[in-house]
Amino acid sequence: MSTASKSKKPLAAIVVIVIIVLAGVGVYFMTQQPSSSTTTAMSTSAMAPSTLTIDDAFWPSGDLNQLNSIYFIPYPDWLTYTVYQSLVTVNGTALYQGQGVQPLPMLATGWSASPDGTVYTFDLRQNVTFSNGDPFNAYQVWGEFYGLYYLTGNSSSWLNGYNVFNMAAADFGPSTIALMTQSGLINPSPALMNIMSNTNWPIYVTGPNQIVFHLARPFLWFPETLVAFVGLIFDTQYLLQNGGFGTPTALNTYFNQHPMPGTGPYVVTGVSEGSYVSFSQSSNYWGANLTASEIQANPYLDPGHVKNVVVNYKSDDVARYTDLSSGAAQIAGIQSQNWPLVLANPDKYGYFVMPDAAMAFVGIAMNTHRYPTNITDFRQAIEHAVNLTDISQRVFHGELGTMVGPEYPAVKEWYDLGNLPPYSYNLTLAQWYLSQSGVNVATLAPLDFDIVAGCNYCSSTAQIVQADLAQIGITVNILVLPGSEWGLPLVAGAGSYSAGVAAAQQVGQLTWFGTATFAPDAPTPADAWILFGNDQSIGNDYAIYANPVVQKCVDGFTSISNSTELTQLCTAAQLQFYNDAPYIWLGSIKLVFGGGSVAWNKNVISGMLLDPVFTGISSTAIFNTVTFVGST
Amino acid sequence: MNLARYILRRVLFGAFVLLSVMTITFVLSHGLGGDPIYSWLGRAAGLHPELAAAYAAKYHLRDPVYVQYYYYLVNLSQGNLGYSPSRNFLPVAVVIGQTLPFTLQIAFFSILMTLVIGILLGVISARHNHTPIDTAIRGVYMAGYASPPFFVGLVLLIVITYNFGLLPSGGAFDPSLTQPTWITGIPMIDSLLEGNFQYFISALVHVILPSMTLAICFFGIVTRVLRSSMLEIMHANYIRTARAKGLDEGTIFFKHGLRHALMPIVSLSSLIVTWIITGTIFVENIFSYPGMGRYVVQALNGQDYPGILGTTIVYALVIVASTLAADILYAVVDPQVRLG
Repeated sequence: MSTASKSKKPLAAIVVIVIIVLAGVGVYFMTQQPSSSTTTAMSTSAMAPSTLTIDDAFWPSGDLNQLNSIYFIPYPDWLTYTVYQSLVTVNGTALYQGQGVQPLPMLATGWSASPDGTVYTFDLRQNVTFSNGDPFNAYQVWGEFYGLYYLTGNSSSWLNGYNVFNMAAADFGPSTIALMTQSGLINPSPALMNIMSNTNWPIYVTGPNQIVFHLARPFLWFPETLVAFVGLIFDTQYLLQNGGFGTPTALNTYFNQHPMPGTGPYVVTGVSEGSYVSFSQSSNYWGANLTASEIQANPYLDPGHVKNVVVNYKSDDVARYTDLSSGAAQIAGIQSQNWPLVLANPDKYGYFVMPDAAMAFVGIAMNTHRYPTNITDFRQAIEHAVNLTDISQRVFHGELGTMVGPEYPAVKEWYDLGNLPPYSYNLTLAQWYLSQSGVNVATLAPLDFDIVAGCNYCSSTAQIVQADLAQIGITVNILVLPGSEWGLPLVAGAGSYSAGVAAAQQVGQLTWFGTATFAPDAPTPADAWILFGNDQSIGNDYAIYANPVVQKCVDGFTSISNSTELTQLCTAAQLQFYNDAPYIWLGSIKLVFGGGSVAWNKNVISGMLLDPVFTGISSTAIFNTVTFVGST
Repeated sequence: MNLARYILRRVLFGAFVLLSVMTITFVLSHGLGGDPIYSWLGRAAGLHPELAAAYAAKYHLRDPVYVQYYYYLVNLSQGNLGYSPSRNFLPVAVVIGQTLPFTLQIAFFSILMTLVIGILLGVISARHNHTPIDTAIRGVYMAGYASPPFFVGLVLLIVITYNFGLLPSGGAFDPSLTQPTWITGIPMIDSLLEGNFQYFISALVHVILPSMTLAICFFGIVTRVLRSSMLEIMHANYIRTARAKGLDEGTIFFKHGLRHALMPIVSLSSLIVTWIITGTIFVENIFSYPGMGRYVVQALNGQDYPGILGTTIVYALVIVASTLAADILYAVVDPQVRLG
């Protein structure tokens, strides 16, 4: 026995040593520069490559099927603006330079609104074709929008969550789709034209190049609701010829890997499910001859600067960084795990930093329907006990912009009405609010703090908040919920306000906002208000918060066309929101993934734009806007 | 017991195991917290409540678990594995058909490498028993066996790809190449059949790292078993007789010793298949290989019951089939097994 154990000792030592050496070798090599051959290949390639290779950390959750836009997916949508364009976009250059949201026509040449703000008439570009040669016209747009409405089960919120139409008069269903299929949308039959031009329906055409949206109530920012998701236009004629829309509970899955043609500068040329999508420049792109000034005015119309693009799905951060460093990819999403390596090589890598005036942010909701966070003074105590500067420095590499919500900083003219300051980090004040709340922390059960699994910076932030609150005697349990549980009844914001109220006692007192980060559905000033503090909220009211003063502003967005009156209502609402403190606005994120960002090889890439709602759509570059070093 | 009865018993037992695995997986997966409709439809579940209700009704999500299981079995009896929410409601069978061939490619090369390296080192280790070479080999294989695949995979990725740039970091083939047409469904075989050698070589290059990862983790078992078996056999009477007959040591070792020592590897092979198939879940995610392992993770994250069950059934089938094959092979070789 003793001999056997003696002989096992050196063996065990060898095993331990081999494992340690393996780990050491890994760490050593990771901190070294890659082999000289690959570095040279990269540094000498100061011109546009024949193929642009992008590594993304995510595979589109709805594959390439644009019908999934009714679910706010596919995310990431690599086809946004590269394959599909919308009637309206925003000025990407201005947006990412922090100049706020400026809507621009894309497939529309312009639009006009009726004086009462309820009728929007869009004039469409002529001589635009889809990549397969099918013409783009108002009939195609009409067919797409009603088809998507049908797929939502005739939901009144079919347009990116905005309940702005009275759809009661629209009798759209399988029989209309059958008529569309029979007639076609390029030269519709008289019977179909009768329906399409029916002015009793909320959306109707007046001819091949004009479409009208008749809203139930005035909404000053209606064009911005068309910027993304269901606003992206596909070839409905092609869809009808390839099995149609499907049904509300069974979308046509043919398009998962056979995307419908769009009007954009690129076409999909290859798909390997869960692996990559390859693109080539479209020979039919209507904007191929746009002048430099026209592209400068709207960079999302850029025909692109590289013939082929491959977007790889690589879920492992080390693999993506390896590709970026070796030159196998020119752009890669690098997350917190390897972000220090990007920062350590400033001569080699560029990366995307979003402006202070952004729309993507991180935050913590406080359950206003569960003890003790249902007490306003208790929430105020928490606001003043959390050290936001510390969180920014320790978790977000100092790249967290100040935010006084709910409005997105990018919507400048509606942001922080009344110029209220961020909540100060002041433990004395926190203690005072705590005493005012009447809550005895000595006998208080620990608060539940729900965060989503797999989010490193969520968990790091939660630990800092836990330590901060411990300073005023509040103990916190951090509960890590898997993504599959990030919905009702455990997380209120995944459902409507009323569903949140019903489940309030199962929802943690503190909840990480969104999943990892939050980005809006549409870049309108109303977006934040109708989501975060609305008794009719359809989602994202994680704090289950509503207040009559705030509600006047919320309702005003879709009922008042007088901007001055609305500003007054929302200034009062902003103060109410601030005093009620249902959310801890940790700040707007400057790095795309919070703890990391989209990085690129500086020797090859000179610039790019991301999506118009700050990574709410895609997690990488809109690649037709990518410009290269040494090329025009 | 005759061989036919023995095989029938094993097949029935295999079917029982499959049904048990399926039932347990069904109950466990449906015991996950939260409401699956939010995983399936995301924010749209809150946004379009009527649509969420329609989905829930269609997929019986509000019914008791036993009712859901009944519908699942009815569909399964008709060859329908259901529809996969995490794959945009594609039929599970279609998704498995897309992903399984890639997993089989990794599994094939992993098993090949595991056996080649394992047997080679096992022979060397036994031949140089109780020498520093033997100790070193034992140290290496135990370290490999003690290391989880994701750790080994990351080390290989960093050293081989990041630092030396020798192999690609992931994927199954070069996207610029034409994919082979569907013949057998397994891309590497199809590329060979249609003479698309460029694709074959690219696929081969891409499969090396994930396969090597699993081989490093599991070759040690083969080495260890073979070494023990060889050492035992080399002391057997018939080996002593061979020596007495004056045969040279090489012939005794390889012809008389190794042939018999390989027998335990046959029974071990079913276990190796099991470990490697389950190990693909880790390596496919590290090396972005579009196989079934990636699908499993996606299905788990998305509360995709049909996907979880479908993949579990396939994994269980592979494991049960390989165990059955090993049992039958053993019974054929050694009648005592079926008599016992």
